[in-house]
Amino acid sequence: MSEVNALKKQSKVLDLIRRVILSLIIPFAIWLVFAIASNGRTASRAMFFSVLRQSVMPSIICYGLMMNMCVGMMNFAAGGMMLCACIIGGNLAKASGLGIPALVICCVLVCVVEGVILGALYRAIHVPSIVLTIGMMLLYEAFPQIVYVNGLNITAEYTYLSRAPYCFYVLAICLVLFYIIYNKTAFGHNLRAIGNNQAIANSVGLDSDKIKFVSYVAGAIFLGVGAMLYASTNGEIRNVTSLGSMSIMMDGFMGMFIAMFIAQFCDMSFAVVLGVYGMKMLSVGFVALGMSSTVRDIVQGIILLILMAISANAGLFERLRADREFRDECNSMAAAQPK
Amino acid sequence: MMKKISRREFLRGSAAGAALVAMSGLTGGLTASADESSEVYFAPGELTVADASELPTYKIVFSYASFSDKLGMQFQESIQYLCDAYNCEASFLLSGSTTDENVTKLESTLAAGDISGVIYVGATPSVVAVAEKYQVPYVAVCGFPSLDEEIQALPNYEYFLGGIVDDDVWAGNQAMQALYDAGCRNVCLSGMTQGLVKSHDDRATAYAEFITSHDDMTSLAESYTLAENATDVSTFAASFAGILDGIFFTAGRDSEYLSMEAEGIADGSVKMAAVDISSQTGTYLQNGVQVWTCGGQYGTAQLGFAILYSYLADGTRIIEDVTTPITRPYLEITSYEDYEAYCKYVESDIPVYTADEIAAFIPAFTEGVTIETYEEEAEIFSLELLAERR
Amino acid sequence: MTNGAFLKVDNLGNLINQGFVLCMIAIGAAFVYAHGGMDFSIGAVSGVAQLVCGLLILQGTPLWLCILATVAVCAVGGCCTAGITLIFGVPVFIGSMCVRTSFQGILKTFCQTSEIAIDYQKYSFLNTVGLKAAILVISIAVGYYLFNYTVVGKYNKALGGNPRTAEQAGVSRRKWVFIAFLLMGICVGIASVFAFFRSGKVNSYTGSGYEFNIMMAIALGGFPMAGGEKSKISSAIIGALTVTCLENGLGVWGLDTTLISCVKGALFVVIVAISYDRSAGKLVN
Repeated sequence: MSEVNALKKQSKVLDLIRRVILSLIIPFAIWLVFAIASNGRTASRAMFFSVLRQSVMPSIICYGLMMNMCVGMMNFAAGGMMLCACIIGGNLAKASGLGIPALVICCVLVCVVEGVILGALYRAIHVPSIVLTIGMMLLYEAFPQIVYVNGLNITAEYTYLSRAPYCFYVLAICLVLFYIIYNKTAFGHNLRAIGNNQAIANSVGLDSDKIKFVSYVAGAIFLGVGAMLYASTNGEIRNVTSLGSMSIMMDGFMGMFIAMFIAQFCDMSFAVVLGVYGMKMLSVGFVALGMSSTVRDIVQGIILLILMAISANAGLFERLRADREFRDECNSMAAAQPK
Repeated sequence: MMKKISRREFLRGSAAGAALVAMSGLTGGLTASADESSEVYFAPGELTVADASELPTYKIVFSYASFSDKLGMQFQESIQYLCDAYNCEASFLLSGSTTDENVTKLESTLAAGDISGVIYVGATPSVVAVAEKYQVPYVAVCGFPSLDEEIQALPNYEYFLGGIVDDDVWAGNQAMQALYDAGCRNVCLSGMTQGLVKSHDDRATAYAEFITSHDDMTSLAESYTLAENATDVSTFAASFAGILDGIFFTAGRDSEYLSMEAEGIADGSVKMAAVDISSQTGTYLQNGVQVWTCGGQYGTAQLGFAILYSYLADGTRIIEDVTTPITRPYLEITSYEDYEAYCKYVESDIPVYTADEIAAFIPAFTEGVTIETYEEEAEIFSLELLAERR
Repeated sequence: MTNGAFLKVDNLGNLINQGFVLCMIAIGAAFVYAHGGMDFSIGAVSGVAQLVCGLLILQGTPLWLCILATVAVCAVGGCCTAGITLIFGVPVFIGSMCVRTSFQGILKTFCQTSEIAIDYQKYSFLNTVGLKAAILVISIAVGYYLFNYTVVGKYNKALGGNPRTAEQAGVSRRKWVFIAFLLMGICVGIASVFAFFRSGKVNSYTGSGYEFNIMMAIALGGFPMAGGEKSKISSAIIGALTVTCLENGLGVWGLDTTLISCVKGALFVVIVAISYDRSAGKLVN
C-alpha cells in the first residue's frame, strides 16, 4: 500500500513538473529565440524585469477580460471603461488630494459603476456582448470628454504604483484575487459551468443572467486597477474618439488567447501572466533587434493562429485513430457475417 | 427650429450640462485646474485697428486630429480668441483617422452651407477638393503634403490659398545637434508610426540624416508606434543598458519622463530631446535630463487665420505659389530659463499673436502686406522677439 | 434641425458618396453574418487592396487591371479568413484577427517610408455620384437575388439557423461558408476601389474601422447577429444607410464630434435592444 502511495505521489510530482514545463514552453521559447538572435542582449536580468514590468498592466486587463471570456462574452468596451475610469477617477482623486489610495479607489469605483451599467444593460436587453460593448465603447469614450475636456494630468507622486517593485505587488494581489474568485468561490465555479455549457447550467438551476451580470462587475474591478496603472504609467491621459480606446486593451486582449492555450497546463491566473509575458517579450524583442514593429504584428498573428489551431484540434489524431479502428472493426465484422 | 449644438453650448445651456459642469467644477474639471499646463486660457483680445462690431461675421472651421491634447487645446483657444476679436464664429471639426473619414466629415460640415472658410491641419487633395466643391477658401496650417503628386495637384484648386507650416526637419536636426553637443553618441529614436503624420516623418528623417552625417554617432534602435513611447523607453533601457546615452522623441509626452524615472535612467546618464512641450518639461530641463525641446506651433495656426481673413476681407491671396508653404521655425527651448520665458510669453493669457498683431498681417487693415511680411516674421520669430513685443 | 440642408441635392449626393463603401460591404457581409460568422479583417484587407491599387496605378498599369487586382486582393483576404477558420478549425474571430494583423503588417511595411498618392483629379470620374449610384443599385439587385433566390443565401441562412441540421440535410458547411467569405471579399474589393479613388491616397491606417462600422450597420439594421432564417439582406443595407444618414445628418447639423459619438453609441444600443431577435431557445452570449 505504501508503495502504491509512493508511486501515486511520484506520479503527481512528475505530472506537476510536466505541467510546469508545458506552461513555460511558449514564453521560454520566445525568450530563447530573441536571446540567441540578440547575442544575449535580451537575456539580461534587466530585460527580464523590464518586460515583466511592462506585462503587469496587460495581465491585469486580461484578468478583467477573462471574467467575461469564461462565459463566452467579449468585452470590447474594456478600453473605453478604462479610459473613462482613468480620466474621471483620476480627476476625482486629484480633487480629494488623498494621493495614491484615492487614485486606486476612484479608478476602481468608477470602473465598477461602468461594469454595473454594462451588466445591467446586458441583463435588460439581452443582446450579444460584442454588439452591446461596441456601442457602450462609444459612450464610455465620449462621456469623459463632456465632463473633463482636458483629460487627466497627474504629477509624479501619483505614479509610484506603475514602477517596480510596487507594480509587482499590485500584480500579485490581482493574481491572488483572480485565483480565489476563479477557483475558490461559488461564483467562479458557476462561471466555468456556464462557460462549458450554458444550457445545462441553466437546467441545473444556475441563473446565467445574474452570473453574467456579476462577471461584468468582477471584471470591472480588474479593469479599474488596470486603469489606475494606465494613468500612473502615462501621467497625461487625453480623450479619444472613434474607437481609439481599443488600443489600451489590445495587449491584454491578444494575451488572453495565448493564456487560454497555456491554461490547459496550469491555473488560469498563472496562464495569464505567462501568456502576456510571452506577447510582450515578442514586442520588445523585435525593437531590441532593431526590427520593424510591422514584423512583430505579423509574427503575433501567426503565433496566435498556431496556438489556436493546436488548441482547436487537440485530440485530432486520437479521434482519427479511433475512427480508423472503429471502421476497421466494422469492416471485419461485416466480412465475418455469413453471406 | 432647434439650434445647432456645440459641446460648449450643450454644457452651458442644458440642465444635464449644468449638472455636469457643477460636478466637474467641484472636482476641478472644466474650470481652471491646479496644473500649470493642463489648462489653456487666453484673455479676450481687442481689435483696435477696426471696430469689430462692424466687421462681417465669417464662420470659420478649424480642423485638427484632437482638441483634448495640449496642442489641440492651444489651437482651439487661439483660433477662438481671434474669431471673437474679429467678430467671427469659430467651429471646430475633429478630423478622422483616415483620409476617407476626413473627406466625409468636411463634406458634412460644409453641406450646412454657411461656412466662410476652412483652416485645416494638412492639405490632402481629396480634402481640398471638398472645399473646392463648396467654393469655400481653404488654408493649410502645420501640415502639408510631402508627395510630389499631391503638391502638384494643389494649384488646380482655385479656393486653395496655400499653407503655412513649421519646419520639422529643422526641429529634428536641432534636437540631434543638442544631443550631440551634450555628448550623446549612442542614441535611440521613439517616433510615430511611419507614413501617418508628415511632421513626425520629417523629424525622423532628420534623425536618420544626422546619424549618417556623423560617423561617431550610432543609432541603436528605432521604434515607430502610436504613442507607446513609455514602452520604447523601457525596451531601450533594458536592451542597451550601459550603452544608451540619448533618446530622441518625435513627440514629447509625460509618459516618456515617467518611464525614464521608472527605469532609473533619469539620473542624467541618458539625455533626451523631444518636439513638443509637456507638463514635466521644466523639471527635466532643470535637472539636465532634457537638453532640447520646442513648441509654439499654435502661432502658425494664427497666421493661417490671417491668410484666410486676408482673402475673405478683400480677396487678397497672400501666397501666389501654393505649392510652396511658408515655413516658420519652432520656438526653441534649450534651458530652464528658455522654458520660463516660453511659459511667460506663449502659455500665458496672451497668445503668441494678439488680435492687433494679426491685423498687421492682413492687407485690409495694414497696407503693404505681402508674403514677404510673413517670411520676414518667420526669419526673426523667436522667444526673444516675443519678449520684446510684450 | 438642419434648416433643410440635409435634404439639399448636393447633400443627397454626399450621402451616396459617403454611404457607398459601407453599403457595398454590407451586401457581402450579409452572406457571412447569415451563417453566424463575422470578419475583423475587412479594414486591413481593404487597406492592402487600396495599396495594391495605388502602386499599380503609379506603375502605369491600365485602370481596369488595377481595379481587378484590388478586387482580387480582397477576395484572397476573404478566402484566407475562411480557409484559416475552416482548415484549422479555429473560431472565425481568431482566424479573422490573424488575417487582420498580417495584412496590417503588410500595409504598414509598405507605407512606412511614405504614403502612396495618385493624381486625384485625373481619376475624379470614378468619384461621381451617378456612377456610384448605378453600381450600388446593380450590386444590391445582384446581392438580393443571390441571397433570396439562390442556394448561396439559403444555405448560409440554414447554417446560421442550425449548422448541425443543415449539414445533416446535405449542406456542405465548408463550401458555402467559403463562398460567403469569397462574395464578401468581392464586395469589399469593389468598395475598396471607390474608397481609394475618393481619398486618392493610402497610409498606414487606411481602411481602419471598417469592421466595426459594418458590425454597427448590421446590428442597427436589425440583422440577427447569429444569422439564421430571419436574416435579410435588406436589413444590412438599411443599417448601412442608417449609419451614413446619422453621421451625415449630425455633421450637417453641426453637432460637436463628441456628442455625435454619444448619440451614435446610444442609438446603437437602443435600436439593437429593440430589434434583436430573442426568440426562445437562442442562447445569447
